[in-house]
Amino acid sequence: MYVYLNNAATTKTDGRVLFKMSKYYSELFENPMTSNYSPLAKNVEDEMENSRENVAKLLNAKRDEIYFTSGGTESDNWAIKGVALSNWDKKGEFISTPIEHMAVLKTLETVKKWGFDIKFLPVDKYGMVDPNDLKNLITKKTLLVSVMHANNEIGTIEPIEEIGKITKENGVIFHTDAVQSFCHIDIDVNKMNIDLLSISAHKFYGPKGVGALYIRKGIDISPFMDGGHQENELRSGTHNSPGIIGLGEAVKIATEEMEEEKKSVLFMKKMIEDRVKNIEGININGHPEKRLPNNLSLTINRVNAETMLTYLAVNGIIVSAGSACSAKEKSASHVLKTIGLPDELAHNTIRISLGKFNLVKEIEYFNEVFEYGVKKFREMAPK
Amino acid sequence: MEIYSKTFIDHFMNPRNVGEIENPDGIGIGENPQKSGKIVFYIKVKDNKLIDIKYKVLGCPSAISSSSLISEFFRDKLIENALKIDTNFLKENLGNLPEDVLECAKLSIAAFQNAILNYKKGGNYDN
Repeated sequence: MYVYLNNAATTKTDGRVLFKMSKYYSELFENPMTSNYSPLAKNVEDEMENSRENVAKLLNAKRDEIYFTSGGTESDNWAIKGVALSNWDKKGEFISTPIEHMAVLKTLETVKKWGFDIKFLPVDKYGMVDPNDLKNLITKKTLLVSVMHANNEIGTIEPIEEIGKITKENGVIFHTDAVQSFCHIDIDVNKMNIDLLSISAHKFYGPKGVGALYIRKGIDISPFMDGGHQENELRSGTHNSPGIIGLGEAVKIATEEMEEEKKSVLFMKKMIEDRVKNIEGININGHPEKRLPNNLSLTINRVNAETMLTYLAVNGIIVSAGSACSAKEKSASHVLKTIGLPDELAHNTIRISLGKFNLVKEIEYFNEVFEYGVKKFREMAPK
Repeated sequence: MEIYSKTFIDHFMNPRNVGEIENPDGIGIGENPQKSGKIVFYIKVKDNKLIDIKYKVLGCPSAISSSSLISEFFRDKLIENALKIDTNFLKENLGNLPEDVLECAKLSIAAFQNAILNYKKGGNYDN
């Protein structure tokens, strides 16, 4: 049996999305920038605009506030570097959290080299930001606050609405990396006072290599990719039209099926939680209630995470350790360290992330294999 | 699992000789607490030969596979042979070990060779 429980790393593209996209690789392949004189290109452009509309609707944004990019990393880079470039002469400071995705943290390192100041908000043992800390940290020099909507490793959902209130009151731009949350839980950019928001299609059953940045109208942000005139002169490069159209289709499906998926993954996650609670020495990381419905981060005393991963993989089950992107790195995850897990326990932590294609019988199989593995490897461990 | 050889996976999934030896002639420990790794080897020696090798292991897959391989390979072999090995021995016998897992594999060699050194010093493992 093959059981995929690593949906936070990437998801399987929905068949309906693939079907929709295929036409835009074959007969409708034309460049949408040539829509003035080619009916086929006009068709591509129209369909891309439908995609934009789908994204905007789900965010409660306007269509012309959605800019397509190559994915979450580019969107995060653009949001931060774009604001830095717009404030090049006067400089200023950025506020973020230590548990952001590397796409944010590394970008902040770059703008620091450019002469901007970076400040970090503390997080508690659940990885949760306290909005009061932001009130104390924000100054007249603050240009942008970047706090992720939901953490990719431990699933904690940050108090975005409270943060948005504070940034609005202070006239500071608010960016959120919503790569893990968009199309999985509700987002309203107006209610939450979000100015910039990053999304990536492959995290919600869309294609890889395409994403978007929501930019609130009136926000001063410089282009990050120079070149042609695409995306209202702000993001150059020939449109990845099949990808963008696939993204739009994935958003359309999520708009209709999100509630159903939430129920399904919550049910299956509870199956695992109930089983895990009966095994001694396993701790669930992240906030107990304010968390993504599909994420389960487990610290298993006296079982090495890589050993558990390999054992599960030999049995056809795919999960990840810490965060999938750092699987090749041997240092413990920065998120787990920040929430206070000692190195040793961080190396005993696995992440299970469910998705809409998982079946109850797969979870039953996982539970059996997992419990047997924990017992087996603990018996092998020295006292 | 393509990153590991069939032999590696066989040792990993069905590790040989796991356990402790009562009244061992030597005990050796290899430890890396930061990475959740600890291996303890127990040996019995007769006429300079390793007549029993057992171990307990907490660590990554390469720590388990290499400990299992060592316990099987060196049974009834002279202790002097065991002191000569390094990670090349593991590479030759477990297939292509990715470079990034060699650190953990080294722990098993260290624990095993520590057990032999401990035996040579008289097996006083309280020191």
